[in-house]
Amino acid sequence: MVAAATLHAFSTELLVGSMTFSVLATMLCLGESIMEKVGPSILRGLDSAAYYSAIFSLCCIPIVALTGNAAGDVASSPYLVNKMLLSGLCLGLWIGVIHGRYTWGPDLWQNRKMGIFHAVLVGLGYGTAAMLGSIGSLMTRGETVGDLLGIWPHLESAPSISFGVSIILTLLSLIALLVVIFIQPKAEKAVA
Amino acid sequence: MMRRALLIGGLLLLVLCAPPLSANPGGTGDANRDAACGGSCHGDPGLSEPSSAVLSFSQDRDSAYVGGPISISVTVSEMELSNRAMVGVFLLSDTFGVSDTPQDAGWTILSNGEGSSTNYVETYVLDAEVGATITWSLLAPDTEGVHELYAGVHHGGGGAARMQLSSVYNVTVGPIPENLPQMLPWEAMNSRSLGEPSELSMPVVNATTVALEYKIGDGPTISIAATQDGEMWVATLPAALSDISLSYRVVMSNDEFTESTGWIVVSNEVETYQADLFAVRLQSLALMLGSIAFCISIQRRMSRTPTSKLNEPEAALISADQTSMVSIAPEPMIPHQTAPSLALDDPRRPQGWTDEQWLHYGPDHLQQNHGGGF
Repeated sequence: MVAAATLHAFSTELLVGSMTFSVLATMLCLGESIMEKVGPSILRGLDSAAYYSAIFSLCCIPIVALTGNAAGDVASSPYLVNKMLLSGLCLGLWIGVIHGRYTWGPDLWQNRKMGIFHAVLVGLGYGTAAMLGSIGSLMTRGETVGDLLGIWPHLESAPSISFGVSIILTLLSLIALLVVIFIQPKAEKAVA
Repeated sequence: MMRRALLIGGLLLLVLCAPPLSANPGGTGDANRDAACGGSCHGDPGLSEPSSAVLSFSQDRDSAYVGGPISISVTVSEMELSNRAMVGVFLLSDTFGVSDTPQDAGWTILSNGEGSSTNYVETYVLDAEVGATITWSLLAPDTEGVHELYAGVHHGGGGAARMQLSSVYNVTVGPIPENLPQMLPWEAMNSRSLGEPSELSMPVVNATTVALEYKIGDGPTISIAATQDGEMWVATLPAALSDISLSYRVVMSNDEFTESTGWIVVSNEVETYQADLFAVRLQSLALMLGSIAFCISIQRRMSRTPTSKLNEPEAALISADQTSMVSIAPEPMIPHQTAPSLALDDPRRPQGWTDEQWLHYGPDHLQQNHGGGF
């Protein structure tokens, strides 16, 4: 049998690789949409690359979270609690990235505001994934390349929120999502 | 061509700039481990560099009896040190890399001197000349003869993983003298909670008196007499009120002999972090749902054209959102109207656009970036 930690490392590498590819392609799309240097056909190619690698990353996130959950005793380490919380945030942001690209279509890069927002969202999702990797590195190797930045958080302590408050928070966020989906006016596809 | 060459050259440069492997500079924790950890960076000749560490053995008595106590100390010095100054020291019964812990050879580790009973101990070295000494308190195997032990060290230094193994160290295990007080196989207490006294039950035979000796740090030794309860001798170790370094040993005596175990170090279990796992999962779910709601909300708001009003009926909008529960009659496909006056040689045409792309996307491009007008 292969240990859960090994599967976790494997799936993490898949996730980080595809996510990095998606982020790079997205940033190139944003650059092209602003500077218009290489032409729309390359822009379309970059957009597709970013989109499909983002979908692949999204598929990897639950696998990474599940194998990571099996590899350690989450309840006994504030690092692992923070990893679990950030995993939820990362998954949510990345679903938002896919939703945005799916909703707006490839012509989102013709609208500068949409393009910038999409790129910021991708950056936030990637930053969250980088923090997850940084915590993992701190746990296994005792250090992280994030330290080179000087302001990188170590997250040695985790929030202590009671079970009751957690249920309320979950219900509130669920209600917010249902309101957005069913009550807020629907999106329009970006127009080229 | 030049661009491609630069790109490939840049990528190759990045590959060459990758730092050398340095294993786990933060350590992997005390544990029972075989030599070289089965393919670790320290043990792989392709990834590691030689170590200058010097390993030396010492023991607290000339020889041990079958099943009897003995303390083995391993001193590691003169090694290269990484910035973290961390070293991992092994006590081994062989160096094959498989089943070579002392336990595999029949030894019992009562204590590793660091508050547990593992054969691999990580410690910090402030001065490489002085090095570090780890003392294992052991019970000898059940067979007489000369038993071999080895020591190993994993450490870093100079940006590389390093490893050193000692030469063989022989320990003579002799027959048990008649009437020698003996400790039967026993699991020593290596850790306990703060503020709680610890009652120890010790299986000792051939003893008329048994005492539990303890000391705090290098302080004076205090003795507590144990009372016999059937086949066990019972003594209570007082509670520790703070995170002190406490060690103890069992002294067994009769009219002929006095025998003692090695010092066993007790670590204090400080209050550990414990989270409600289900609550954490709910919080993670809340974060996920909340962030999805945030993203979708902003995306929907941004995608609406300035002419769209929030109170506009839904059917008036082009629904591209697949989460829509409102069924909207499909509109007939209307071919994109090309402005007849759009000139192919228009100076506002972006470089690289084909005629087809220009005719298709040109009007909107002009509308967005040049205020329209053909």
